[in-house]
Amino acid sequence: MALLEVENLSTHFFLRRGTIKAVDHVSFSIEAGETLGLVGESGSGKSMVASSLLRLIAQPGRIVGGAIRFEGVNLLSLDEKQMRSYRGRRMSMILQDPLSSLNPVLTIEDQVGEGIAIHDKLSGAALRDRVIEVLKLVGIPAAEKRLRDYPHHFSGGMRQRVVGAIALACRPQFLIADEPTTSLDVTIQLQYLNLLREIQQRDGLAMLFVTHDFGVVSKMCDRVAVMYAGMIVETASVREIFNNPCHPYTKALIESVPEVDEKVDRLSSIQGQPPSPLARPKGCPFVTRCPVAMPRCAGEMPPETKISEQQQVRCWHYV
Amino acid sequence: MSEPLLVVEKASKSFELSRGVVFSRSVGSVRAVEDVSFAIEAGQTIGLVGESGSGKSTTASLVLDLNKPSAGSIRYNGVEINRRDKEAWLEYRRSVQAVFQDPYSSLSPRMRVRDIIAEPLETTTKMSRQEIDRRVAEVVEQVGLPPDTPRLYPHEFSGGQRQRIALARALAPKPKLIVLDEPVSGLDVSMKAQVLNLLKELQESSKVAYLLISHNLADVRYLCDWMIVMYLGKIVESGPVERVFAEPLHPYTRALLSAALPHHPDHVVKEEIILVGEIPSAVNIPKGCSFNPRCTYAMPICRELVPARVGIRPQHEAACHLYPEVVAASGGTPASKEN
Repeated sequence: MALLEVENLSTHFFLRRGTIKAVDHVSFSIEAGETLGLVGESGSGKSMVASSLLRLIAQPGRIVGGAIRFEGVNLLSLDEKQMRSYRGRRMSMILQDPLSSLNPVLTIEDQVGEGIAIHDKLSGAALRDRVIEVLKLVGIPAAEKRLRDYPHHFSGGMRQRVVGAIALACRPQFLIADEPTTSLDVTIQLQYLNLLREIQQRDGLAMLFVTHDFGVVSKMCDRVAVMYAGMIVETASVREIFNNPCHPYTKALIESVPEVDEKVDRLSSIQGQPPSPLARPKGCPFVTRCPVAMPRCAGEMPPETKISEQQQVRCWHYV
Repeated sequence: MSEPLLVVEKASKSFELSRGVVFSRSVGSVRAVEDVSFAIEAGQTIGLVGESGSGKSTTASLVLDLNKPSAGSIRYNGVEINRRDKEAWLEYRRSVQAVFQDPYSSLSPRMRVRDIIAEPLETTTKMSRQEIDRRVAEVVEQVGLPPDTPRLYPHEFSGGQRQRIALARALAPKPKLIVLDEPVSGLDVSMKAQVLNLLKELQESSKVAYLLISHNLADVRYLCDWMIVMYLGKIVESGPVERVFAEPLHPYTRALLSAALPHHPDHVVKEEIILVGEIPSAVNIPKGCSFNPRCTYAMPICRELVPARVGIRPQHEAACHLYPEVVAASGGTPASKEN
């Protein structure tokens, strides 16, 4: 049994103008120690999947269906108090912007220690020792001396390490990283990714890595799920997604990004824009921009087709 | 040979740090850019790369005449841009345009797209209303936006389309140079490819030169002929893009290239260089070569002597003491070493 199994998860937002299906029948699973990459453009629903897993969806949004099974327990059937014993303890999250995910008026010790105090019931010197230990784990130099510092005393890269320390404070089994390095410089990004990798290998952490950068996917992930308009259109191992991309969206996405290791003359770009979330096509969501669309694609949603052991695609061309 | 379109020569810019509000006093200065020299030929694209704090954007602001250099000069068509009469000033304002990173904050939400695009024409030319309207329609078509665009407001467009509007505004006065400050970093992958392609097409049809500021090496490789790598306000390496990618000379350039992750899992980075620490504050610049505290190859001389930037290969310059030419040009005694 996989550590995390997500089945037909749907999260909708109910607005006066209509219903937005931010997450639409999404299914995937992650084993212990494995990293699944979730890629897609903004508005594709990647971050909504991440927030749904921790049940952090605010009004007017609601998880309307499906199941999220963590070690066999369906998180959607828990009450709020039971859910709290998962959040921050067994599963935690790192967000994109370290400046807005840290509280500017609390010290680093307070922020890293909060979760440990709540979940592990530590206090005083024992709590302080654990905080120092976690700060050292994420590579903050002279951690003992920085406990009384505030977020503004740290640089962007160091702040993101503090955010990492908060997420890893209670030794979770599952970490959601929502574009953790997007706001960092490339050399700092490389330091951070290597750090996450080390911690993962040591603790056997499972990760969901939300990103739009294929370089990060290749470096960090074992498998990838590609999202478009709230749906997962293709899932595959990292190697398969590059060697044999099946969904026309996946193909186009890979071809439209300039590469550092080769010079191209012209990028192929995807024409048009993603459909408005309030007016999605009835059939395949990509039909409006797809170069190989058929009449059938506009009318009916394609089912998921298995290409190989790890690769599934939602496209009528493979049915 | 005639003088290039734009020449930046030994330009430096430092900002005063002051304390106090009423009786403010200077408490030192931040060196944002020091001794930066480069030239842009007509129709050429130069990429300026480096991490945040490296001085890329300050350099752009000097070229755009938004900041005056503390030392050094910037010449446009052979004329110093800070010593111009009104006419020449208007001509410079018209010929050098900019596209900024964030298309949400760089377009006024209260102006119609027509007025946004027309603004540089109204302020720097004597075109009539009809001529302006005609030009607006022309550039709107050139950047691939629908013909009814001019009467709409920016909020009616997506990020990619807004960046097209910003580009249309920059193109309207038929500039010779456009400064592109991270023009696609705020865009999604599919929009980014569209805008990058558009930039290339526009250059082919109008022969405009670009100064591209970017931290994304893949974008620089795609768009530029020439690249300049900056670190802590100084140019550490410059040369033709393909040559720099094939054989980076400066250790910082090598680290940057190795940190740019290739997409395909089979394309592994040749040597992964993980830099220790972070870029130091510009208030407190290390002695000698600014990069020495993070450099894997740092030698005693690097902590003492500022390396000069000299040609190591044809057209390809670097400022690093690993090369005996640099040591000699910086006034040091070349060490007796094998490479």
